[in-house]
Amino acid sequence: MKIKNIYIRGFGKFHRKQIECSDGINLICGENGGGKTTLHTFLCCMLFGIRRKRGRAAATDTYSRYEPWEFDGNYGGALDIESGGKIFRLERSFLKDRGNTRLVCETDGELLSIEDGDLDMLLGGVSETVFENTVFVGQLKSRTEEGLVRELQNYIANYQGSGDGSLDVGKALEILRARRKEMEAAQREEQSVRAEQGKKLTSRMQFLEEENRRLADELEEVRGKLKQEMFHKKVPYEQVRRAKQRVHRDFKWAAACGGGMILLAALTVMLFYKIPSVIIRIGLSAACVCMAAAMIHFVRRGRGEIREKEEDSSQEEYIRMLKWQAEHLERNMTQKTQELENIQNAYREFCDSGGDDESSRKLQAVSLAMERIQQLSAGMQKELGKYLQKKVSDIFCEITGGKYTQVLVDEDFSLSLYQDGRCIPLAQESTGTVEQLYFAFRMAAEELLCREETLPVFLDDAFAMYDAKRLRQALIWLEKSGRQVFIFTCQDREEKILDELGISYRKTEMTKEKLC
Amino acid sequence: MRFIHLADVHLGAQPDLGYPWSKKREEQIWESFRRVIAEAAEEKTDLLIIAGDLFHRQPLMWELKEVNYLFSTIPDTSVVLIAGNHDYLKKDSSYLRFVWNDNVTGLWGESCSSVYLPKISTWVYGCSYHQREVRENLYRDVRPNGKDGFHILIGHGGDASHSPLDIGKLQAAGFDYAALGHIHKPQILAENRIAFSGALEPIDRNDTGPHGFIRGSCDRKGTRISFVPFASCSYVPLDIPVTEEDTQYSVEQTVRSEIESRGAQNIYKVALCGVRSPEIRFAAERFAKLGQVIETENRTRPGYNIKELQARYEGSLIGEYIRLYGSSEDEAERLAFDYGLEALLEAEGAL
Repeated sequence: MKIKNIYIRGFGKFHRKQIECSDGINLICGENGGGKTTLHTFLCCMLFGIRRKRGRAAATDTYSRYEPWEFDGNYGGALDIESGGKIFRLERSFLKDRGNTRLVCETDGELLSIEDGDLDMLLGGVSETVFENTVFVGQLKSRTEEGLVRELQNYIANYQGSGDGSLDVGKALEILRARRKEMEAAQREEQSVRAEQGKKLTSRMQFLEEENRRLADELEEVRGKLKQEMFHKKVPYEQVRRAKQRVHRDFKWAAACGGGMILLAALTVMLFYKIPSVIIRIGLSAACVCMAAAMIHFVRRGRGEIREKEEDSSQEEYIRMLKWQAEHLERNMTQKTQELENIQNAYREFCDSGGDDESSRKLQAVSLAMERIQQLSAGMQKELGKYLQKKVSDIFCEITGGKYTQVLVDEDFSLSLYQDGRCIPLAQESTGTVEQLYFAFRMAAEELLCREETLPVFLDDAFAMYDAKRLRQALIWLEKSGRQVFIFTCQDREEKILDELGISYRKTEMTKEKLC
Repeated sequence: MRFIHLADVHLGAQPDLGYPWSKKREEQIWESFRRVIAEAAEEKTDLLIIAGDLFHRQPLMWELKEVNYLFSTIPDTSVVLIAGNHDYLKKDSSYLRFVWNDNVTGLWGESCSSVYLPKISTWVYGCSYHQREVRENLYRDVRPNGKDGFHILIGHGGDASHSPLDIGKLQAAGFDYAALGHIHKPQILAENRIAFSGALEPIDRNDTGPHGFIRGSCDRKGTRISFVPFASCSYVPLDIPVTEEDTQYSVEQTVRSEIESRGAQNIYKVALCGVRSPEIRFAAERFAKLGQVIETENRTRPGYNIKELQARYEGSLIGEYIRLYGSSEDEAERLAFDYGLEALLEAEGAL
């Protein structure tokens, strides 16, 4: 795929600008702020569309940043593209409401469909991320050598792990890990509140258990006393009942004797002189006396038994009290046992209801996400790593004029170069070498990822750190590769060397004055 | 003959244990029961039916005394109650030892029996649970005895392990009214004939919707019943629609005003739905401070344009990740996908 013409109708500072392009090397010269980044963004937006953020973020997105400075109803432009021997025209308008894209094959006069993936086909199925990671080469951002090496290392590590040099999978996992930690802390917090509540229930349970034990002890004691009393009781219950009856009977007999005696005495007194025989008189008197004696006897015996019974009944009172106590304790215990059982049930239910499903669901989700990302990354690393090292070595060997024969990337992505049978850690090499390796790496990635279509290469001040010799070799390599190349530069070194080498190129000047 | 039918009062329950309002809810359940009795006194209700689970657990003596006192304040109302699966009659249940007021009848039998209330010429049928679970239909064979008067059945159950019910047969049995308990959601199963009064107060967060009791009357023309919302609070699912314009504060404001308009006495189950801006991360615990919020569920999805992202990252890990996992319908998988994508984009610097 090659870009033939660039038309900018309105994009940032550009307004009705046309740039013709050559199939080989295009040199776009301009000072800082001349619009090189704008041009790059424009090309990206033309090929892949402009991204709009939604919501509040929209105010700072690409769309808003590159709205034309001088708006005349146009925001967008067109590209003429050559691919497979045919010329296509890609037109885009980015306007919010009237935004549209048209792709026409000018050779056949046929209107193509973006939805059906005709543009993707022109791009060889390369996505924006892959595009930015390969054919668009800027300068490494670090300014120290050590920083440069680390940046390159990261890039390779990221690239191998994700096919995306700016995506650090380790960092993504770190973010997820931090998130999981946060969730776990929240869950622990929640659990500690619940534990507090659980403790309230268990302490109530403990209290009731102790209370129950105390009651049981008391009951035991009362029962023991009761048993003892029953055992030591002098007169068994049945005997007491009988004794009572006896007293009753004694008093009855006493009353009967008394009555008899009074009757006899009266009889004797009344009939004393009418009774013929002295013997009978004496007999009657004797009978009276006997009756009196018997009465006295019964009264005495009865009194004695009452005294005995009085002793017994105080003991019985005590036994009745003990019995009442035992009953009371038992009732109390049943209630306490019931309450304890209720609370035990409540506690069980509380524990079962336990835990917030929501938070454990979230935790699982985070873990699953981590697992998937790790798996994907491992898979990519395996696939990309193998080819990459070989390709990088080939390209690097060529652009250094055979100075280095091999690039070694070990497991932890530290890089070393192979020169004259010696292995040199990259950290010992100059900034220029690191930049060269970066360039080689991106070109290798392009070959790996963009197999269906060779895309133009965009070099944004990529050679600033190269010395003249290296620049020369890089330009020779680019020329030989047959690619369409866009070199954005603010120096005239490239131009001079290209002139020296006799390589043809098309130069476009971009100065602040000539903007529109 | 006018009656009040209530069930599943669950005295002694401690809803939402561990939340600040738990104690208050426990008291509200008692208070609501007291208010129903006062209501019965005022309306001069003839019959108060309590269709099981008056207590959340085995009743204690002091609790029965309280309840009996309340019954004693409505001496002209006949009270008929049964034991449900929560307060089932175990061997030494306090129910059985308790001496009730004259106006109170407990149908404690294990299978259905009836009691005649001459003052209102009403026969009331029912039985009690003697264990936690009863797997056969307790009311399959019970029929009105055919004598003069109204015939009312008190039932408890309605799921597989608590006397499954056959509503068609129950309707065919010919009771003037079947007063059911156990299912906490009030529902009328046959117009003016069979109804669950539902729990008087909601007992846990799953008891959403209105709660109260059923007021009814029986006369020559038949039975009429109506549901009376009576609970002092309800559990309200609060779905908050979220858009990409929303922030933590704007959503908090919405939740706050929703709670205000629906009543601060209610307990809310907040669920954030819709699409959130990808860079917003809602702090769920902050919503709990806006009122009686028992749970906050974040069901929002980040507002990524998945198609666009996939096109942009095709061929790299993110593209592959979207291709493999982006179209899952499963909720757990989708959540995992969102977390992963968010982290990847953040790591990539796209957020």
